[in-house]
Amino acid sequence: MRRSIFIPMMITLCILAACSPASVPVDDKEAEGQPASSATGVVISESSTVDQCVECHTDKSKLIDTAKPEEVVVKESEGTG
Amino acid sequence: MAPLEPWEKVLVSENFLISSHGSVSCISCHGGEQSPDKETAHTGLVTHPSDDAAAYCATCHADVVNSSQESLHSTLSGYKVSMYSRSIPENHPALDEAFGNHCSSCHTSCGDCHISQPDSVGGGFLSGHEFVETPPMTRTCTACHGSRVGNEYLGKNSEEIPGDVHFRIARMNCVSCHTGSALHASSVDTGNTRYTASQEPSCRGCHAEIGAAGDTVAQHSIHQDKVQCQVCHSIEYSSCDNCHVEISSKTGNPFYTTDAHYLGFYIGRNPIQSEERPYEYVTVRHIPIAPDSYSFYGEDLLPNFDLVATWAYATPHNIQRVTPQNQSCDACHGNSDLFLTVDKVKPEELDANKDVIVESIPE
Ligand code: HEC
Ligand code: HEC
Ligand code: HEC
Ligand code: HEC
Ligand code: HEC
Ligand code: HEC
Ligand code: HEC
Ligand code: HEC
Repeated sequence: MRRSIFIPMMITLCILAACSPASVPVDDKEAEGQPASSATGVVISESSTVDQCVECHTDKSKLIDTAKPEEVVVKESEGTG
Repeated sequence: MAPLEPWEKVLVSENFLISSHGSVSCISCHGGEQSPDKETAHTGLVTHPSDDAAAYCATCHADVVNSSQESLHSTLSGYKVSMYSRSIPENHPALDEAFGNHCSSCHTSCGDCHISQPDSVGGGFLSGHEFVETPPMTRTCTACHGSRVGNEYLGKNSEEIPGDVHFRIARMNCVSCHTGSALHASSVDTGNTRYTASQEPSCRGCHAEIGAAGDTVAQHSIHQDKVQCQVCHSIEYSSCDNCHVEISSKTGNPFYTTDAHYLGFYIGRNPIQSEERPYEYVTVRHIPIAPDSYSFYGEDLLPNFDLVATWAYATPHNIQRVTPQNQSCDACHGNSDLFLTVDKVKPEELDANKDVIVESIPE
């Protein structure tokens, strides 16, 4: 299932990347303020709506609120591993 | 490095979002659902996409993925070869079960070297989810290779035992010698264990002058390939006895018990002599195996225990120019303390080690 979205998407990305001016690294923003993905011509749908994954995973305080406390693992092994 | 806070482990950086890999939506690699609620967002989450590198990475990194899938890091076939070589086919299912419970968690995904710290040390991004080209030594390599290689290389075994000269003086790290292409390489054609292939890396690959005409070190010209470099250039390293694995009746978790862990330096006869490793004498270390290591999974699962040495060929990672044993000819010749003589081997392991035990110390 997940693969079925992913692979065509990646292939599209690659094909589009191949059309773009020789090896323009995607992260080399051509101009300030332009969306990074424009170099490959890919319009990522989430740029208009909010990507909830990005929202949370770039927000330190949200992550602090939702992170599970580290589990205390009972160490049963003995000796050097 | 201070341990990462739980939030720090999963905080995605701006640099990632503007990188090639970050320009794809999170969901296309990790699954899940768009939702502001954590639990909902995480339904059907793929936590380790690179465990299936063929699906998620091969479109752009076909060569690396193809060979890596058959690398020792990916298949862990070194463990299987070692288990099977002491056993018989009828026991393979039981051993496979033990492997699944105790060994397969060491499987190394692309992400374990390039994206996150391995789960065994609690995970966490190396750098805000960026795909890091050069794996950082202490956060990836020695997170897994800590107790032997890491401690030797970094000099953490004891105050008296310095770290490797390549680290102390030359400031090299693991990948200075273990290149990406070697780590990505398939092991299928090379016998599926780490010492069956050609030496990769090899000391001579960088030190071609050793033993060649014009080398002024007499010990080099005399011994050539009869003695492995480490015999003269490494110092005390660790050995382990027995590793017994079980599933805990209290928690249901797998655990192990090792009997003894000790430092020492042992020169043995080469148990795996070949054209690639022609040495007569090599450093050997006791590996954590005993006839009953897997007894939790069945009786007598290693009936051919005596076929393979328990004192194994070793390449300790604590190279020094000057060592106690290379200070003079007599520091080594005739010095029985250095050699794996019969008295240093457990009586029940004498047969297994008959090709390794040194009977007469070189005079
Ligand atoms: C190109 C594929 C890809 C994309 C896009 C991607 N990831 Fe990942 N992510 C990975 C891989 C690979 C790993 C490492 C785990 C493994 O496979 O071994 C990982 C690991 C993680 C981890 C685990 C960190 C840890 O060590 O505990 C989190 C959290 C995560 N990603 C969140 C995100 C978020 C949020 C986004 C979107 C901003 C995202 N990922 C986009 C491939 C991707
Ligand atoms: C859509 C194509 C694409 C996919 C899919 C992809 N990569 Fe990459 N990867 C690239 C490109 C392009 C580079 C070159 C460096 C850059 O532009 O960031 C790269 C570079 C890398 C590097 C080197 C880091 C660097 O900065 O040069 C690593 C490691 C890497 N990728 C791992 C992975 C892994 C692991 C996966 C699967 C989870 C993956 N890649 C999936 C396109 C891709
Ligand atoms: C997630 C744990 C893990 C990480 C991270 C890891 N390794 Fe390994 N490595 C292993 C295991 C397990 C094996 C044994 C595989 C076998 O013998 O079947 C291994 C085998 C090796 C070998 C011998 C086999 C070969 O491919 O030559 C070398 C060399 C090695 N690792 C070096 C490294 C270096 C260098 C790094 C960091 C860039 C690293 N490892 C990171 C777990 C890991
Ligand atoms: C100066 C070069 C050099 C450096 C630096 C180096 N290694 Fe090695 N390593 C070797 C050689 C040589 C071998 C033996 C290769 C062979 O015989 O095929 C080896 C073998 C290994 C093996 C397989 C044998 C074993 O003991 O399990 C592992 C794992 C390994 N290295 C991990 C590491 C790690 C982790 C680091 C960094 C902490 C590291 N190495 C740094 C040269 C180096
Ligand atoms: C045991 C650690 C380890 C694992 C596992 C690993 N790599 Fe690497 N990788 C390296 C090292 C070391 C380099 C070289 C870094 C350098 O030269 O600075 C490298 C380099 C790379 C590069 C950049 C250079 C190149 O060869 O194109 C890419 C891309 C890459 N790896 C992708 C992957 C992918 C995809 C996977 C999983 C299929 C993977 N790696 C698994 C250690 C690893
Ligand atoms: C990737 C290249 C590389 C590999 C592989 C390598 N070395 Fe080195 N070695 C170096 C460099 C660089 C230095 C520091 C510069 C120098 O003195 O030559 C060094 C230094 C040394 C020194 C100290 C020399 C001095 O003058 O103090 C010894 C001894 C040594 N290496 C032995 C070994 C042995 C034994 C092996 C195999 C286990 C090995 N090297 C593998 C590159 C390498
Ligand atoms: C029989 C013992 C012996 C063996 C085997 C041996 N060495 Fe040496 N090596 C020495 C001695 C002794 C020195 C000089 C130490 C000193 O400076 O006091 C030395 C010095 C060196 C140096 C320092 C540079 C130089 O030439 O002075 C390097 C590098 C080195 N050895 C690498 C190697 C490598 C690589 C191998 C395996 C191919 C090897 N050695 C095998 C005994 C040995
Ligand atoms: C760290 C140990 C070590 C040191 C130091 C050492 N040797 Fe050796 N030597 C050996 C071993 C082991 C052999 C046995 C090799 C064999 O039988 O194939 C050997 C073999 C020899 C041989 C026989 C070589 C042959 O072709 O059969 C001679 C001669 C020799 N050593 C002389 C010396 C001299 C002279 C020195 C000092 C300059 C020296 N050794 C230093 C370990 C050492």
